[in-house]
Amino acid sequence: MSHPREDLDDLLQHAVRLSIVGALSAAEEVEFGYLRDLLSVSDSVLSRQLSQLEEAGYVHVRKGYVGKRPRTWLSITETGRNALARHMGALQEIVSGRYQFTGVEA
Amino acid sequence: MTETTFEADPDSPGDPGELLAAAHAAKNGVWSSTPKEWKVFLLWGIWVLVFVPPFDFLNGNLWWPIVCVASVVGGVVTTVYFVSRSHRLHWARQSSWRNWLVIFILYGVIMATAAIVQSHFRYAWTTAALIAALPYFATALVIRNQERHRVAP
Repeated sequence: MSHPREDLDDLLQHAVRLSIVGALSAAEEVEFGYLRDLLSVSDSVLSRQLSQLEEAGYVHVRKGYVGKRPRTWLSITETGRNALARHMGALQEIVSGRYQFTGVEA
Repeated sequence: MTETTFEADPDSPGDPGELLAAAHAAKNGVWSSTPKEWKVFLLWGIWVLVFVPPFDFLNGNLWWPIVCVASVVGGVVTTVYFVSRSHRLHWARQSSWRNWLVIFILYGVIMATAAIVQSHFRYAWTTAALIAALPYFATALVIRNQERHRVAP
């Protein structure tokens, strides 16, 4: 039986990136400014993390407009959703402690 | 709105428990901002139960204008509710315009039937309200169940 840490996704091992995909999993599209405010991060931090997630194919970025105002819309891809589910499952198993001391499932 | 703050370096791996909590907080923050369609259907079902039965007991000519105003107010509030929440979020819609159309047509048929039989049947409007409210409540229930099983990471 493999240890759940093997299912952890390196890219999602960081709080901001995991929170981004977690937030995006709850809606079809989320506006950049809304996500920035929700996560209490700066524009630059969010942009940097989004670039990495987009590069990995976890997040899709779409430029659009609300009236005449330009808006950036973010959404999670199927790849991102699968990675999130796997990563969250592994974290849950680790936190539940089933593998913590014995290395085998309790 | 639920906020997740990051005091530490965002590039450093976090504790598994904290990571889980952060992801859930972010998801719940978005989720709490999305419109709850089941509540809209539920409220319209209640609207039908409140505003239709009085036709059995009150003068229709007096009650009709009140119902018209309540319809318009309800329509405006519903529209504002959805539009105001779509500026910064696009949610996965649980119901389509077809749901609304089918329910609206059903409502119209039931009300027309009540108007026809009201002179022969004492509680025509109350019965019509009970029947017409059912599709609203059923849709609300279905959507509520769908939401419960939705996007669980």
